[in-house]
Amino acid sequence: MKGAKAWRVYGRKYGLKVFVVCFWILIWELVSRGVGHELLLASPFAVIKTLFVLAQSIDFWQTILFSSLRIILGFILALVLGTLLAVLGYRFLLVEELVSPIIKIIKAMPVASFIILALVWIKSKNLSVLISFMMLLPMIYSNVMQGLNTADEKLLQMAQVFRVGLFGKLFAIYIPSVKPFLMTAMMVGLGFCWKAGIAAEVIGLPTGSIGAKLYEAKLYLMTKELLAWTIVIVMISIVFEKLVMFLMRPERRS
Amino acid sequence: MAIEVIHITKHFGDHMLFDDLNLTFMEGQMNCLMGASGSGKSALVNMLLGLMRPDSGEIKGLSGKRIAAVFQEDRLIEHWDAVKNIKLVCGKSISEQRIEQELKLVGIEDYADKAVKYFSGGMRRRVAIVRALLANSDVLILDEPFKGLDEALKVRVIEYVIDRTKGKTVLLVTHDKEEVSRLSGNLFTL
Repeated sequence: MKGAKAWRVYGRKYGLKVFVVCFWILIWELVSRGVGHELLLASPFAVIKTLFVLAQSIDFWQTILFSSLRIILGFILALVLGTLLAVLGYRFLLVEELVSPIIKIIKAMPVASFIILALVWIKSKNLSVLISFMMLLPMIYSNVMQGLNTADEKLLQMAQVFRVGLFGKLFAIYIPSVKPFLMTAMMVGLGFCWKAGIAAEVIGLPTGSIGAKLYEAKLYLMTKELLAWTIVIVMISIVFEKLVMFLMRPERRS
Repeated sequence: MAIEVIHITKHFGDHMLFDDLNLTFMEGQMNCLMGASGSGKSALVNMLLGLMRPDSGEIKGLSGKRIAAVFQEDRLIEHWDAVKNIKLVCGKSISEQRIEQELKLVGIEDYADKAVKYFSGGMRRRVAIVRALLANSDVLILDEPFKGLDEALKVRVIEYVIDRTKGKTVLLVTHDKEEVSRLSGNLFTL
């Protein structure tokens, strides 16, 4: 009985999701027919067909690997350095005073300014590493700092009285306090990394990147390819988001 | 060495909490501190724990000593079980089996692996007491440790505290005269 009930719940949940996807694909199809020109808006079926054709070439997978590796590298670097800077800033006021204005400037600066500036300094091949790093760094820094600052003062006093060591304080008090803030930054930041990283590739045009493929598709008015690559970007972003969520699940840590 | 509170003064805004407070808590004995609400018991406890500074005066006899405490609030790590909470302050010096045995003595059985956030107020209080008594300490400061325990449980836990604090310097804050007589300690009033 329990199994049947669970199946009904799953069925309703996923059935609704399938319905929503089908609904929007239908709207897309209707708009595409209304527009009546594949160059302006390709139909969903033409785009999916193009995607299948693209997926059969090694170049397609190499392109995904090229961009993914660089964006994820930027993500990891920002995660490590942002956390480290926040911890140092929490511990030493001077570090916080030094880092905070830079973080504020990075937050306020338009991505396009960054990309163009960065193109002057580094090779376009590595542009997406720097840009995704720059996009995520302020989020990680601010959120980890907020998590550290909201660590339970009374528990910290308890640890001080009982002379609990650094690792004890870290696992008992600081990590649980920082975790929700860090999770939020990672979830939101991963999407930003992808968007900014691909935008950087579109401007920098490194050979063999998703950004270059998008630009090429736009240049030659290959709307089907353009939409197919956009779907690829969204899919990869979702896959990485799910992966991060899976890795951060509490039961995995115990 | 006794713990000496010498010429302590403390203001909170316009309110004078302590004006030249002098007390001497005996070494190796049970010292019970009583006082009405707002008389400054918790403030004094915080000063002894090094969590609050007096405006003037000094506290002697605590320097270099290891202190364990039961705070007014339990101050447990909510998502950890009782054993893990106690191990956090004891380190490797005490085995899990020993902690489980001690928890049994205060009536916490079969709950050792449950997160303390699922515990009742009385259970949490007992975990906090066992944690303080098992920590490697020279001085114990217990701020209303039996708060929230029913009468039968209180008698059992008081016996446990008496047994585990023999020969130790203890400062126990309470409102209850009966607790003082059961503990048969030196009485101080604020």
